[in-house]
Parts: sequence; structure tokens; C-alpha cells
Amino acid sequence: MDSAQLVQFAISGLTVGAIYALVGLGFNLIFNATDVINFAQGEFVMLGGVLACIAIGEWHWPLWLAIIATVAAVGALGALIDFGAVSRVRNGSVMTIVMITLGVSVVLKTATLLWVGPNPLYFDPFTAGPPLRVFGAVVQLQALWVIGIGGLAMAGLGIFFSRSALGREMLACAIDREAASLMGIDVRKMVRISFILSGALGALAGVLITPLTNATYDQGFTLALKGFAASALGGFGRSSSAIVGGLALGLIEAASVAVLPSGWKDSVALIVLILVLMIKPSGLLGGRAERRHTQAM
Amino acid sequence: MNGSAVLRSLVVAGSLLCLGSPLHAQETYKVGVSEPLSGGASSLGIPVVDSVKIAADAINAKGGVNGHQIELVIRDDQSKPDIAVQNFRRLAEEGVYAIIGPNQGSNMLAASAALQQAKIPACSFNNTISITKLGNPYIFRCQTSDADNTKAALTFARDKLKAANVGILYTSDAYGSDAYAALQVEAKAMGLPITGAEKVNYGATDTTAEWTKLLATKPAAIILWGSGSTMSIALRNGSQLGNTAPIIGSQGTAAAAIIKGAGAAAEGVYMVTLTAPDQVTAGQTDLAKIYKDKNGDDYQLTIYDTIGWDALHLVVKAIENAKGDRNAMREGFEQISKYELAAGTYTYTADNHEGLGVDSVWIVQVRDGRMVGVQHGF
Repeated sequence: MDSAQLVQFAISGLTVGAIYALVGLGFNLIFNATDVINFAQGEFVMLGGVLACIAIGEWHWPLWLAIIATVAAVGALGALIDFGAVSRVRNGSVMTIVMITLGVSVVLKTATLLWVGPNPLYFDPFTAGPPLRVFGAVVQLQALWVIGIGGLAMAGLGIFFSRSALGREMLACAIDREAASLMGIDVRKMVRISFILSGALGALAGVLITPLTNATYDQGFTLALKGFAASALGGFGRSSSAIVGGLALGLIEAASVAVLPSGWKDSVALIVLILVLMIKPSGLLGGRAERRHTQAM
Repeated sequence: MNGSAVLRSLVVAGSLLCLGSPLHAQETYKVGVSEPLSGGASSLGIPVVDSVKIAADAINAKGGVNGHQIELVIRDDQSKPDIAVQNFRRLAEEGVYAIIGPNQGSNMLAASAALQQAKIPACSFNNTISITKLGNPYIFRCQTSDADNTKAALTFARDKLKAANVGILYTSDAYGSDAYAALQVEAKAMGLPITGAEKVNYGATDTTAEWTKLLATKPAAIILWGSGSTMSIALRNGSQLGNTAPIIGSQGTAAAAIIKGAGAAAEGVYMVTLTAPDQVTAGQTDLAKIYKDKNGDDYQLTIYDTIGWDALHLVVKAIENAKGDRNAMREGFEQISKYELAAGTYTYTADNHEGLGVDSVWIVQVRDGRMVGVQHGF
């Protein structure tokens, strides 16, 4: 194997890893606010991709408008899910809410199938042109958009949580909901906001990755599984962990293709996840348990 | 005369009209259809059922079979194996002469036992090699087997593309894995070396790592076997990584949605399929006329338009051969010989339930986003 191929495997891994990281970020937002793993997170991503494809391909909207509208629409859907279902059982157990998100994900998937059908949807990369060449390896231009905008979203979330009053209130909820409530913070409102944010973030991820991955109605589950694995690998409850976990997962997958028969890719990634969690149950960066009294980012 | 009385007399008049037609004197022949009208495979099932209905109208307009009209009993298998099994059971109870469908190889495998109990033939639209290897004498393939499709792909690579060797990229499901096994056997028999073979998961959203490994083996031609969204991603990834070797795709890649999703990356790609949309063969003349009358002169027949039409014609032929005896339907099917229809020429015997052979396979090439016929029959 020559150096160009090695670089190519690394770039493939980082591209895919950036996608996982972006999906994983949304999981963390809702987990922090509610202790719930939102099974509909993958559907948020899928919907982002599908809506953008329709806005661009059928309604011929400009790209920027399609992105803003899609992010706003799925953010609003997040609010609706919290308003219509999750907030109704706020006193229910975590398991009840998890089952609700599972139900919501099935409804969203089926509705999308009935609406747009089973064929893959697609729109062109944000910037046209041949891929970049780095040391003989190829970088898809859209991958740079995924990494760039993903990084910006991360930084934006970091500032939001550390600087703004609203962000700090959400952080307080994440650290200890009861104490936050006793301090006069409106926990219900924080949960609502976390659903809106994770819907918007999921949709943004969907729009960014569709030129690479296509958008199909049944894509949500696979993406959610990888995003969830990324979060778990990095350590649940911390946003930067989704980034580290996602990139690590992508690189592990690419490396496994390089050295093993290629059909093993998915199994290897999940076996590594299990091993890491056995050795360090809180994930690579340490999850919420280790961070309660420090900070969330 | 008040409103309801008018209605009643209309109904009576209508029924008399029906009774008046000489065909009604005979009971209808029921033919079951179990196809995916919803779920993941519905984009295949819906046009197939349309095609079966068009065939039924055409056959009934000509007086039916032995004076009996054909009555379709259509059920949706929701793209799920368990529903397909239920459909097969219920259709058998309703006394159908044969079942047309299903579309997914896994659903045929699931419904095989129910079919064997019912003792009626099924026209199954699968490429999956194993469906005729189950020892179930009631399964008749109404498609080409991937044993023939892979043979056509390799022969085309060797003879027309002058490829000294091939690389293979395939999906991990039964469709891809069965074909890979067949490709290995066939390539060995032809003395064509396989430089490398990479497996991608069905539904994978990135294939660049697998392509990198495959391209490092420097194949002279690439065989791409799979279906679904992953195929358009694979075509794009290959082109992004600078692949210049010609690609031959499976029947699963020869779909409008895949070609559209791959965009410029699909240009020049060869595909193994059953119809060349730009050409009307002798067996397709009647069918093409019906579709063009319905959809305009520019309409090009798809593979799904042809296989449904063919399946019902095969069932009708089997009923004729069985002289209308429902218990002799299997034998009726096995007597069909050199019957030229829209997708090719069908022959069944007691030992051969494949129907179509490698002589019916088309190689098409994508030019300006459309499939153009390059070679017919091997």
C-alpha cells in the first residue's frame, strides 16, 4: 500500500467521521436536558436531507434559502414533538419518553415514505468542481463543507453554553435538573429549547451530508446508530465527545477496510466501541458522571 | 319515479347488461398477485402491478382464456416477508390458478413453504439465484437469474471491453453475495482473473474506502453488483477517486433513480438488464403500443412494464396447457416452450424453472442520462 492510499483511507475516515460527529451532537443536546436518548434524531437528519432535496430539486429554491427553511422547519418539528408528546408525560419515566421518541421516529419514517417514495433523493454539492488532491489522495469538496460548518456549529454551541444566559440555564439543567429547578430555572422551557436545537442541528447535518450520502426515507436509523455510537465512544453528555468519537469511529472503519476483508467494517467499529466502554465506561473523554461539577463542553 | 328507484333500475339494467354478455356464462379464472405496493420495494411493485392489469385487460378484451375471463386478486405484501406468506396462504384459499410475485428474493424464500402446500405455481420476479434451488417445484422464475446476468457481464467485459481482468464491488445482502459467488465460479471457468473484490453494506452511505482498496489492485474493468441508494453513491465515489476503468453494473443499478442520483458519474456505465428502453423488440410491439397510447409517443418501456405483462401471459399459457384444470397448473407451466414475450423468450421444463436464459439479457450503456441498448443476448 503506497502513501497516497494511506492518505486516502485517512481522508475517507475523517469525512465519514465528520458525518457521525454531526449526528452525534444532536443526541447529546437532548440527553443533557432530559437524560433521554432521542431515537428520532436520525429522522431529524433524514428529514433535513429530504426537505432540502425537495426545496432545491422541485421548488428550485436557492441553496441558502433551502438550508434556512429546512433547519427552521425541522427545529419547529422538534418543538412540536416536545409540545405534543414528550411534555405530556414529563412525570413519566425516562423509558416512557424513549418509547415516545421511538414511536415518533417510525411515524416520521413512514410519513416520509408515503410522501416522497422509496427512491434516493440527491442534490449537487454546495461548490461545483473536481475534488481537491492532497498528497495524491482525493478530498471531496462537500466534505470540507461538512467539516467547516460542523466546526462552526460546534463553536457556536460552545459560546452559547458558556456565554449566554439561556445557554447557562440549559447547562444548569444538564448538571442537575432538580437543583436548577429550585434555583428558579424553567426546566420545561429548557427541554423545549433542547428539542428545537437538536431538530435544527439534525436538519443542518442532513442538508450538509446529502450531496455525499443521498437522502432516503429509511436512512435515519443507520445514521442514528452511528451518531449514537460516536457519542458513546466519546462519552455521553459532552458535545466535544461527539466530535472526537465521530472522527475516531470514521477512522476505525476506514482502517478496518484497509487491513481486513471489507465486509467487516460495521462490526469492527461496534466491537471497538464495546471494548472502549468495557475499559472506560464513561467514554474516551469521560462522560457526564465525570464532568458534573466541572463543565459541559 | 324517485331517485332511489332510478338508481335501482339502473343497477338492474347494468346487471342485465353484464349477464347479456356471453362471457359471463363461464366462471372467471382467478389469478393472484402478491406484490409490494407499499414499503421499500413499492417503486418496483407498483409498475409491475400496472403492467399485470394492462395484460389482463388486453387478454380479456380478446375473449379471455378458453372463454373464461381473467380476474385478478391483488394483494400488497408491504415489502415484508411475513405479509407475503399471509398473502400466499389467503390467495391459495381463494382458489387462484397461480400467484404472480413477489418482487423481493427474501419474500419468495419466506413464502416458499406456503406455496408448496398450496400446490399452485408462482411467477417470481427475482434475480436471486437460490429461489429455484430450494427443491420447490412450484416456483417459476419470471426474470433472469443472476447466474445468467453475471455470465453476461463477464463475457461482455472479456469480449467487448477486451478486459484482461476484473475487480468486483458488491453489496452484503443476498442479492450481492449470491452474485459474487456466481461471478467467482464463472470468472474461473472463463479464465478471467479477479484482481480484488470488496463488499459494501446494503444501505452504506460512503464507499470511498472500499474503492481505494479495489482501485489499488488496478482492475481493467469493474463489476458493480447491488441495488438501492448505495449504488448511486458508489458510482459517484468511483468517479471522484479518478477511476477510468469501465464499469458494468447489475440490474439493480439499471434504474432511473440510481442513474439520476449518480449524475455525470453514471455516463458511460454499462448495465446488465432485461430491456433496452430505446429499442422495441418483436415481443414488445403490442405492449409498447398500449403504453405509448397511454403516456405519449416518447414513452420508453421499463423492465417493470414488461415483466408483469409477461407473467400474466405465462399464467394464461399454463392454464391453456392445463386445459383449465387448477391441479395441473405446474405441468401446464412446464410445457411452456420458446414463448416469445416482452422481456425475452421463455422456456420451462420439469428440470428447468429459470424461464429466461442468457439469450434474453441486454447490456445497456448510459448516454446523456438515458439507457441505450448495446448488446442483446449472449
